[in-house]
Amino acid sequence: MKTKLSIVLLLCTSFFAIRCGKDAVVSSSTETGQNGSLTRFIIIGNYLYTISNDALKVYDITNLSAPVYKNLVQVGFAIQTIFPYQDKLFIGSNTAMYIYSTANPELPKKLSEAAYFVRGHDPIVALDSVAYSTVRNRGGGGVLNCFNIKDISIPQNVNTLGMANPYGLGIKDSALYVCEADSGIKVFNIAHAYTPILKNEIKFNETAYDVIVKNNILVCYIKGGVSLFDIADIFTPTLIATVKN
Amino acid sequence: MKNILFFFSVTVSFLSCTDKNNGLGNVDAYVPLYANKQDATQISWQSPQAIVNGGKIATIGNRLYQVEEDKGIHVIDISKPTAPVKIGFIKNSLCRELSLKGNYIYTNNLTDLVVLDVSSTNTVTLTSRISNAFPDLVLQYPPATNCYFECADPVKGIVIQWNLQQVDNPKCKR
Repeated sequence: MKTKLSIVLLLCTSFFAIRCGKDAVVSSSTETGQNGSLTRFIIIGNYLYTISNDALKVYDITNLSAPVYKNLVQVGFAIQTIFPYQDKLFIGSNTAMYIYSTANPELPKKLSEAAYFVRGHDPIVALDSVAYSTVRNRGGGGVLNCFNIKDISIPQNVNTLGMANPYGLGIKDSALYVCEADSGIKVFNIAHAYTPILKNEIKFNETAYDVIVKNNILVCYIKGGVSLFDIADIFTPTLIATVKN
Repeated sequence: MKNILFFFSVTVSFLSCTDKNNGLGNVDAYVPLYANKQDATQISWQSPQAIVNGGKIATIGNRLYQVEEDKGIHVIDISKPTAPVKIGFIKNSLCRELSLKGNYIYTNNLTDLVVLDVSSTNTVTLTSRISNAFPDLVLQYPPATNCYFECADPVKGIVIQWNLQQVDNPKCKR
């Protein structure tokens, strides 16, 4: 069930050869970069998708140096984040998760939405038949929501775990990393997708906001900089560097 | 619809400027820092800068980029992950977001969508600008609520920063 797909591989589903070349100085000419889960800009294939407070905008970037505006799609209210998975867009607002299809990449079509029971900021990651979203309450605390998305038209919130102060999140294989600000990074085993099991808590004297899984490196956006972890052992991130000041 | 009405009512009640705050004396208030449009639309490569309000991150190849909120983008070489090195800074006013493909950075400059070619080291070249793609990103209000501030005056330029300082009878509150 739980395959070796990761966020890295999600991007590989675009029809471009990706060369994460260790020898490349910058990058190959059509490699798509990776964003953290808090982002409001994402790229799938030849399209850049951006979100504003209430809408999604689509730009054709076939000519990389000169985007062409294509469409504006009204989504909802207080939109926070956008996450690409296969040909789907997962859009998080303060009150709901929206799922759009990019079967027509120039005009994404809404497939479904799932309301939250609490209001807050809410980055999302998805993998196979599950989507995870954190919702941070304004007054502190929050939750990790697990949605069953086997039927993409009816996402079902199948599990909710209490969190300390959740922000961004990322997946590698059967590990889910959730940033918890001053409480560091929590690592969950998601071999059983709908019942994440807390495996590890990484406290490293930094305030963790978001992550990008880049092969065996976990890049973490911290207050005032970035930290890098070795995640060759996915459940045991090892701090290898911090850039601050 | 309810949401829209709620939004407007919140906006009107919290964001409107008011002249009713006379007699406050000297209080903490946010004061806008203005730039002229020509300076604020200038995007340039600079030597590495201190990360102060580090923001969102993105990676491609051996590079890691981190937004410096409202100021620009830190460029970090992570070819040796155990020894990342800041190699430059892209000055970019009101920068908040970025995404990457090939040799290009897609980001916001003020409220515009811009595309930056970073194929050669120590250089950044603007290849495209789509005006006012992100009207939400205007810095019309300070980065806090329940605070006093001096109302932004468009005649003075574009607000690129809010500084908290002592102000005698600030006119605005949110």
